Amino acid sequence: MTLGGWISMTVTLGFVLGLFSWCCYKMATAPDAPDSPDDSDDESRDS
Amino acid sequence: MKKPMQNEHWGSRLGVVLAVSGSAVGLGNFLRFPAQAASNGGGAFMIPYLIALVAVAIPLASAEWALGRYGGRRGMHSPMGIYYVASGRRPFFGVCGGGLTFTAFVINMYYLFVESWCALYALQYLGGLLAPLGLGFSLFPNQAPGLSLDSAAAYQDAFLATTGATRDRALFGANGASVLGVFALCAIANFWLIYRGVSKGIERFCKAVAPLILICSIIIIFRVLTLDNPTGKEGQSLLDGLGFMWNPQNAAETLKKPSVWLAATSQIFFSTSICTSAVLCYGSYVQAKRDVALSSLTSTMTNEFCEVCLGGLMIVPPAIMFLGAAASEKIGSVFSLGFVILPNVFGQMPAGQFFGFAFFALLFFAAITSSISQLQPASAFLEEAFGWTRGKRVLAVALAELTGTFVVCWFTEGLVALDAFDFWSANFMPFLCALVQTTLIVFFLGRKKLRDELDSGAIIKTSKYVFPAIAFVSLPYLAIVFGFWLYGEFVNKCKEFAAKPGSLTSEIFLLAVFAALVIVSIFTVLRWKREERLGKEKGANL
Repeated sequence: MTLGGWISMTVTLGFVLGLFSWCCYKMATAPDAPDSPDDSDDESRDS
Repeated sequence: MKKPMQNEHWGSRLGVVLAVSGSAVGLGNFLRFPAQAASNGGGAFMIPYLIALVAVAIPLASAEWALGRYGGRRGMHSPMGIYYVASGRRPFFGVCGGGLTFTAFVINMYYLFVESWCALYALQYLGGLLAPLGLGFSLFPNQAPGLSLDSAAAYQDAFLATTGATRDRALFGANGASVLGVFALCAIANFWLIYRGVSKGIERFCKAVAPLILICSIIIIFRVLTLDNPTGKEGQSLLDGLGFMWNPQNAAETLKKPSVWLAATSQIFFSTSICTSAVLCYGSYVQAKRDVALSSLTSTMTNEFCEVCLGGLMIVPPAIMFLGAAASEKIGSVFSLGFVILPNVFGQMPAGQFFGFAFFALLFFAAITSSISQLQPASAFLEEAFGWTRGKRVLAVALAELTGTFVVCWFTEGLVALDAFDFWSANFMPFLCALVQTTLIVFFLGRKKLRDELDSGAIIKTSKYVFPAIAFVSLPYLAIVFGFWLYGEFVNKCKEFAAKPGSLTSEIFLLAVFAALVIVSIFTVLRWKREERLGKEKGANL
């Protein structure tokens, strides 16, 4: 593995892993929006 | 306009993120990406790849989720209906959307077949054919149970027997019974999940399968990273394996080649499922007050995590560690890498049967979450076109998909039909879809509507960046790359297909599918227009 290989691997994995971790953190800490009444599930209508 | 009968939606934010991630994470992450990277300059490939990710995938994924929900809030779930309402009820875009339903619909015709190979290989490891020990049953044609394969040629033969690639119609004899039997089970599972619906079928299944994908990946990654030079030969250490994948090979020369940029952009389309109508359709089931900005970014990055961090580390390094130069020549071919080289590696690895089973189970689970997402746009299309009940729609989609898969299974010599289906649905159409979609967003939906849609329920504020990124970066980038692709690869590929009878028949079939979608779209959009006109006249008379 050359120095260029280490750099490309570290930069790529670092970028992807960093952004992915940040997304997971935001997903885990953000409150979920309540169901709005106009979006009620009516699957029964065509099943 | 007649309101569609269905008003389904996702049960939770996590559910939709896992479903879209499941749609994106598939064979493209674990087989296509390592093969493309290793054969297009290794580390140098990652430069165009990351540029395509930032310039195209992230903004387009956000816009596609927003566009999908914009349509979903107006009762539309198929690309035909979504494009129609998002373009200000322009029939041209409705018909374009109908035609572009082709992408996911046709990908599924061969994807189901490949998915059944993964299931068959996983069962083979469980049975012990591809490694010593095991339960002692064989599903491969012409192979006695309990025998382990002991040479590269034997793995190649096993692959040819599974796929029937030696001659056309090879699977329609006694030898193909096990392959077609496993295929039938996979197809039934797919259609049953679609029949169950968005939240009760797709969402529940993706929530159950996502941890399994992660567990299988971690097991294999741990095994790979703890092996060091298992054969003791020079040039076959872990670092040599990682180097083959990540070392930039002639970076300056590689980056000058348009083919490398094309490969990187195609890989992004293939792996993220954007512009295949699957994300658009899934986005349409997100509720009005739920976030799409963070969800789209999270699902894109989940896909990238599986592709770069898992697929980039677990596939190529062990192939080099165990097989050395013999593997490096064949790594560029996706099917050879997955179904010939890796089984050979597992055959030489301690506890290879267990790791082989874990790997093909991983591929199967990743594939099935993708294949169900390819069926939903066609189901939504039929709902909007004919107003059919879910049962009727699933039956019609199943019959059409199985007809396509029949063509793929019939012309198996050299897998020519599969190649033709893949070229038109996974290479040509996503580029075309991306251009139509970005044009629709930039010139017809407009900045304000896109921002409003992205901001509704948003956890992170990305809306002000998405429109400029699409208008000034993604659209020109796609136009240039698609132009190079048409000039370079398209003409050669068409000439290559014309020379093969199986390809020609496949293309006639694909043309018929495309024509049928366009014709149905024209009649549906004209019906919508007529209903709108009648509605207005009624309103005026009152």
